[in-house]
This record gives sequence, structure tokens and C-alpha cells, in this order.
Amino acid sequence: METPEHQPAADVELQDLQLMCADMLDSLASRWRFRTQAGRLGSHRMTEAAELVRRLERAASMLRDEPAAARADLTPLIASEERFRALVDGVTDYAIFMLDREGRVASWNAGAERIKGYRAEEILGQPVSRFYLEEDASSGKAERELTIAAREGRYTEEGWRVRKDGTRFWANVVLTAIRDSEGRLIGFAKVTRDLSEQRRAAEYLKASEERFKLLVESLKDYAVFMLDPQGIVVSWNRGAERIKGYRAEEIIGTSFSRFYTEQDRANGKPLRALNEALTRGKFEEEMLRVRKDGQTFWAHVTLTPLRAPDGTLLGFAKVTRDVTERRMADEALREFARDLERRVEARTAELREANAELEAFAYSVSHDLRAPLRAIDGFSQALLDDYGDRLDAGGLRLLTRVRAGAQRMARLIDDMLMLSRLGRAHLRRDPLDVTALARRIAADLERAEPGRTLRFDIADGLRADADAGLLEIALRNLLGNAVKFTRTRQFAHIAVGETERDGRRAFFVRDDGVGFDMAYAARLARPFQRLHHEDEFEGTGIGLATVRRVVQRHGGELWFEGAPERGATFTFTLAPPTRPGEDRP
Amino acid sequence: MTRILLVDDNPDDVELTLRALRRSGIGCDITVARDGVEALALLHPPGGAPAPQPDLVLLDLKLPRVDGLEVLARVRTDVRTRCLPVVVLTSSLEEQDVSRAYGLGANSYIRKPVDFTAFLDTVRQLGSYWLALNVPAPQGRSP
Repeated sequence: METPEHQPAADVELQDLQLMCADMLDSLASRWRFRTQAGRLGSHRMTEAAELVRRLERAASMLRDEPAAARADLTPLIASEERFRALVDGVTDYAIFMLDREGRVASWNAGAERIKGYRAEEILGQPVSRFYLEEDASSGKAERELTIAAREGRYTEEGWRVRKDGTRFWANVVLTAIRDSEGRLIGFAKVTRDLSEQRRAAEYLKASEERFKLLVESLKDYAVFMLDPQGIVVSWNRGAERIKGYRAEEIIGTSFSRFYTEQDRANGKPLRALNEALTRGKFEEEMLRVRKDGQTFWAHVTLTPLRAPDGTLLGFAKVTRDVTERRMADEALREFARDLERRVEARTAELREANAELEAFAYSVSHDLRAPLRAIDGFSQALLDDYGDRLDAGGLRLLTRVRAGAQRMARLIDDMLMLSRLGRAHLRRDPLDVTALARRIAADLERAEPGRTLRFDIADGLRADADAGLLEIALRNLLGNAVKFTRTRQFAHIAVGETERDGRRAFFVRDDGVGFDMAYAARLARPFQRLHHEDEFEGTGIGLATVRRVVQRHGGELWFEGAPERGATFTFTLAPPTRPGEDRP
Repeated sequence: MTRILLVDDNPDDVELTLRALRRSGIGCDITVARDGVEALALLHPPGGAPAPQPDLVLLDLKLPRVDGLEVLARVRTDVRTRCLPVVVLTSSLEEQDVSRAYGLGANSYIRKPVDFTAFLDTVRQLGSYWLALNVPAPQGRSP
């Protein structure tokens, strides 16, 4: 291969080779180092690059002493240099390019185009300061970096760089000086990496961490802190200080078992809590804890294990809440409820006693009042019997009125007693066959008035949930009244059925008797109030008051309509108005 | 001669009842006890000796000292008077009085009406039923 005429050419060639070697060495070296940092190249390329470097190093050291052998060695490497270039060119994540001694761009790669935005023909020959911020470029930052790289061999930094379109990005930069075998500076190799995304991610993470710390700090009512896997406190927050009384510097580095009562510590509770958190995924409990000053308080405690993505236990997160106040409030509430219950019971007992007294009173009154009435009536009659022949018609009439008065009073007493009892009686609701009840009462009334023609028209299937005894009293009164007030008719017509009133189902009792004037209707249901005279129709006037009382006890309502000589209708419900769709009379 | 024991503390009621019995035409001997003590002394003379028993007892409930229900109870537990017809004749219509009277073994329960005419009729019916119609338990021998 050696020819004399190639000697000068060989010298040039040698120089070129040297340059190229240095060039390749440094580029590869810095690139290789970078690759390790970023882990971007596949391992086969790493091997390839390492191999190239080794061979280049050997060739470079041989160049001076055994140029021929070195050349022989380099020749295949030149071929691989093409490969190398292709490699470099192919890398798009890094800008890898050469600068000449003056710092002008001497080569370009796909990564450089991608990251910085320039195409090769646009940027070759331009000074490197083009990539710097305006203020950096004017201050001579680029030159300074080149100087440092020339002096130290390399310069690394993270800083702002500018793209073709003027946008700036955060970059990681490695500047390597390339020298020939004599140590003369030939140029620089520059590798730039766009860290924008990384920087954004890092900033985001930092901001997130800041926010979280702020949150934890601001929680005054919750002690939120971390334990290491052994239960040593590694962080603290304001809430923890407030609740437990320790300042951060006092407690960090000590075991969390300090917060447990002595008894709990003796029983090994702290360790059990950690274990349970590990096995169950969470430990939660309401228990006594101890403050720094020794005072105990009720705490709601949650212990959660924290694991790394690979499952290693990093420690525990502990959240403690002071629930002493809440427990006291609960206890106060319970005490209040108990007190209320006691008072209600006392009041009920009082009422029951009052009721019983009333009952006894009504009983004895009715009993004791009847005896003298019996005397009045009896002895009046005796007078009539024994001395009646000595009395004229006027005298006889007077005596008769005495007797009538006594008998009327007896009836009044009975009615009053019943009315009062109705008000106090315990109401029992059972499903009742109202039709059957009405028919039974009608039959009784018919039997009691054999001389009359009574026509009862009682609808089938009338049902109600009501008190049997009270309903019977009410119906007896209504039907009895109907019979009484139809006495003037030859054929009495009395109807019992169902109707609708105010949107509710109601019962009615209707007769075609003497009726009443609606103008006086307001007085009808008042006890002892009557709209007819005693000589027209007997009665104490208690009947309707009784019916109204029964209806009221059931929560229902009573309506009545009538017209003189046109009969009367009494309508009633036996239950309070319910929700729509849930109606019953 | 039929004998009636009337147990009632009210002098008016006693007089009216006697009057009613007279007017009913029932011929009978009437003894009056004014309270439970007197009634029991008559029915169960001390010493255990047998005493002539009435054919009917008309018993009021509200009596001083020993009341009607107590008398009824004692009458029914004593072998001498266990089968004696006792008709409770009282103004009370209280349910508990009625049930307790029957529970203690009263034969019948009549409420005294205020209306004297009605009372007359009641007494007449009582007399006619218990003294004429009813067959009493044999005296001197108890089952």
C-alpha cells in the first residue's frame, strides 16, 4: 500500500485519520456516557459503540508509532464510521453535532434538526451562539463554554437553549473538545438533550408534593404523620402537635408506642396494630391515647401501610383524630334521651293516675246521684198511689212532672257518664264488617218498634278499621235518631252506605224524616243541645255529641246536612286524612 | 211463708223496695239488713248452728262496713249458704261490678231503675221468677 508518491498524501491522510479518530472517540465517548444516563440505546448498540471506542483507542495510540498497522486497523473502522454516522444520524432524541475550532457548526444530525428546528443546510457554518438565549449570546456565554471545554476537556450544564422558532427549552448539554495527536484543538463535539418534558414532570411533581405538604400541614384537627416500617415517627404535622402535644423535633425519631397508654404498651398493642395493618391492609380503632403531658384522650386511629410499586414496605401512614368531644356529646345526648324518657314516663304515670281518678269520680258520682233520684221518683209515685184520690188533676200533673224531672236527670247522668268514658277509653282498631253491624242494629230497632214500617237500605261490603264498641255506639245513635225522627212518616226510609267527601272515603246515614234547619246546624253536635222540643221528640241531646266524640277519637270528621221535612244525612270518616293513594274511611 | 233477705243501706231504697214487694202481691216475710255485717250475722250465725235460710237474697253492692261483694263471697264459701239464690240489686252498671258479682257466684244482676213504675215491674218479675217459678236447692242437705 505504501507508495512514494503517496507520502505527502499519506501525511494528509494520517492527519485526517487522526482527526477522525479523535472525532469519533470523543463523540462516541460522550454519546456513550449520555446513553448510559438516558438508557435510550439498545444494548447491542452499546456493545457496538464500546467496541468501536476500544478499537479507535488502540488505533489512535498506534498511529504515531505504527502508522501502517494503525491504518490497517482503522480501515475497517472507516467503514464502520459510516455506520457510526448512520447511528448518530439516526438518533433523534439527542442533538449530536460538531463545531469547528471557532465554534461554528460543522455537522448536524436528525436529533439536532428535531430538537433545535434547523435543517442542516440552514445551520452549517453558523456560530453556536445561535442556540443560546439572547441575553446569554450577547454576554458571550457560548464562547465561555467553549473556552472551558477547551481548557478542561469537556463542559456540561443544564440551561436554556433556543429553537429556530424562538421558543426556549431546558437542555442538558455536553461539550467535548477534540484534539489531534499533538494536542491541537480541532473542534468540539456537542450533545444536547431536550429536557423540557422531564422538567415539566419534575416541576409538576414538586408542585404536587408542595400542595400535599400544605394540606397535611393545614389539618389542625387530624394528626397525619408517617412511621417507618418499625414504627418510628418520621414526619409530623400541626394537627399532630395540637392533638398529641409534641413538637416535631421532640418526636421524630422516636417510636409511636409513646402515644399508647402504659397498659397498652405492656400488652404489646402497638406491635399488634402494625401487624394488623399489614395483614388486613388497615388498622382502625377508637381507643385511649396519651398526650405529652400524660393526659389521656379518646382517639380515632387509622394505620395504613405504604408500599413501593414493587411491594416493599416503606412505612405506615397514621391518622389520629381526637374524638373526646364527640364522645362527650354522644354521652350527653344519651343522657338527655334517658332523662327525656324518664320524664315522659313520669308524665304518663301522672296522666294515668289522673285518668283513674276521673274514672273513679265519674263512677261514684253517677252512682251516688241516682239514689236520691230514685227516691224522688219513687216517693212521688207512692204519693200518687196512696193519696192520688185526694189530688185534683192539677196536683196529679205536678207530681207527674216531678217524676219526669227525676227520670230525665237519671238519663242525663247516664249520658254524661258515657260521654266522659268515650273520651278516655282506649281505642282499639280492628277490621270491622260495618254492613253486618248496621244490619244488626237495624234489626234491634225494628224489633223495638213493631208497629212501624222501617225500610233499611244498608250497602254491602262496608268495611272499616275501627273500635268495635265505639263504632257500635255511634251507629246506634245515628240509626236510632234516624228511626226516631222518621216517626212522622208512614214509611221510614233509612240508608247506610259509602261515599266520597273531601277526596276521602266516608260512611253516611241518611233518613227521610223531619230533618232540621241548617241555620242551627252548628248547635247540633254540642252536648245537650237540641233542635227539637222535648214534646216533639224525646232525647237528651247527647246522641250526636256521642257520635262526634267517637268519630274524633278515630281521627275522623263528621258532617251533617238537612232541610226541614226533607230528612237528614250524617257523613263521617273514621281515620285521619292519609297520604294520597292510601285512603280509607 | 217465703222469706226474703233485703240487704241495703239506703232507707229510701229500702222503703221503696218494700213498697214494691207489697204491691207486687207476693206474700212474703221480709228481713232487712243494713250492711254486710248484719247480713252475715243473719246468714251465718256464730257458733256454726244452722239458721233458717231465706228463699231469696236481694243484695245491694255499696254497703258500709262490709260491702255486697264481700258478703257474696262469704255466702258462697259457706256450706250452709252455698246454693242460696242471690240477686244483686244495685244502681251500678259498671262492667267490673257486673263481672265481679258473677265471678263470685251471683245468680243474677239487676240494675235499680230510677223510674218507680219500672221498678215495680222489675220487683214483680223478680218475685215471680225466684219465688214462684224457680226450684230452690234442697235445704239442710248440701251436695
